[in-house]
Amino acid sequence: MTTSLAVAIMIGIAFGWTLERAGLGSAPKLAGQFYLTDLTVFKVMFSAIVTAMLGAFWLARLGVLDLSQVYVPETYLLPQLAGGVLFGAGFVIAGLCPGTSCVAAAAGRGDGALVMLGMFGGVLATGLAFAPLRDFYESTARGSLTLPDLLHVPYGAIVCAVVAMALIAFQIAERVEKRA
Amino acid sequence: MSFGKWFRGLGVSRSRGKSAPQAYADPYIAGTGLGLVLLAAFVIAGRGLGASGAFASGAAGVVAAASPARAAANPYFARYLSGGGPWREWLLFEIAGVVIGGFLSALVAGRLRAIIERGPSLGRGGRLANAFAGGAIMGIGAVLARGCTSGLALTGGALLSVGSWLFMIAAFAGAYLFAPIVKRAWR
Amino acid sequence: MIRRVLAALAALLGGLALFVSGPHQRAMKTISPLELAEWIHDRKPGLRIIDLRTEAEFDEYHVPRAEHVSIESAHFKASETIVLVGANASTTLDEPSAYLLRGGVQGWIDDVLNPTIAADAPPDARATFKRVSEVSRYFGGIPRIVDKGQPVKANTAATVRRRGC
Repeated sequence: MTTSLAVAIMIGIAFGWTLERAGLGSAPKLAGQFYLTDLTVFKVMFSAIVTAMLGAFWLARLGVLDLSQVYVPETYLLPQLAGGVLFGAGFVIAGLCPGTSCVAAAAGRGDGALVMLGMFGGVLATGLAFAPLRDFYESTARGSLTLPDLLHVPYGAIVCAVVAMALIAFQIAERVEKRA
Repeated sequence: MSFGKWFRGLGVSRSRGKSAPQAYADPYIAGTGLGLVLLAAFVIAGRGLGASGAFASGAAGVVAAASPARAAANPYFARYLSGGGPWREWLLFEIAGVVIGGFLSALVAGRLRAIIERGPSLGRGGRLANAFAGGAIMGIGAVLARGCTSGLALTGGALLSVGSWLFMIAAFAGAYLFAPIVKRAWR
Repeated sequence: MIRRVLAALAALLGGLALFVSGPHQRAMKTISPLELAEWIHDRKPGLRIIDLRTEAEFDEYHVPRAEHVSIESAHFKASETIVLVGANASTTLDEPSAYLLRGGVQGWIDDVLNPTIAADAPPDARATFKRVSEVSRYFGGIPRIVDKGQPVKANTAATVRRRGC
């Protein structure tokens, strides 16, 4: 096994551990996000995004991290919009996402295992029926487009804005949960 | 020893609330921890996290095992066949780690439970059907979007990728729009 | 409590980010000849290959579909993926999806047109080589299996970058 794959397992262990610690291995808890009773999904996700975003920005600024060597997921406007809406619908039906379904299954949850099976089936079926989807799939490609590029605004300004929005959103989330 | 007996021997209880499991971690702290894991991935591996890609690679591997010609001819699966093959995919190993990490955390917290978690008004069968259907729909969405919450929302979100933020917003919108329709499953 | 500390830290680091110039000018991303071959083979939309060498070198041999223009005179759209062939150390192109071809034209000739594998290679390497051979033949290349004793150049297959997450 190569170093890269050993690193993958280690990172995965930390990932899975953290998700379970937060309770994201429990479908009813995740579903609570969409009934505004339990906003843990939002809090964990955005705390993670803010942390990694700030970390990446500052480590790059200090020359420790070369951002050009980090793979930035590419932008495909229409497929990601459509895929996103579909994914969200599936998420609220299943109560788990691909990563958390593995955590749930690992903790013994039968429903987690079924979400994994469904995911596998959905991906397999879509792959097999890929030919008619191909044109849509490849449409509206924008490459490794980032928000600073799109808005013609400095990277640091976007970072600041995202942090500000997240902190405000967290305040709102706390209030929304109290009312539930 | 049967699997069930072994699993229960690990501290798994069949009924809810038999033992007192640990409380969940504070979401902001857990989220910060998750962000640090993601950052570590950037620094050490030059890439972020992911999940749906592991399923895609596995699907490619299964198709290739059943019919190598078909897999190589399929434009979606073919790309997983090069660079060491679909079973040496980084994401597959990462997902294996996720399973291990999730298991260990649940074990330590006393949260290992061989149950089917569901909303108060949904039966076990209904829950399993929903789980499978929801998973399948997420699978379609993840193929089109080239990722899921882990790879796009978390990783792409932190790297300020436009498509990732678009996906994230669309996913939350889709979930909130659909939530009233499946209310009976959760409330 | 700790939430306040985290929030304050985030606010501080976020606020400071506003006054600091972004991560220093990105070094150009690179791709391997095999990745480029896959992109051409898969008809990746918006792909443009720009050959920066002299006209004589271009006429002698160039990567299929390469254009012989200068960076300045070429107009690039945001949706295009641009691969620069024959660039030197100081070439940069400030587009979201611009890449340098690692190894240049010679790398293309070695890795895509003349890929080799050792006769006693393990099964998974052979499976990879099968895919490489298909792509190679598409471009009129000649994949070869070489016996022990003959000098064998190690083949690096495409990296996982394009597989997404």
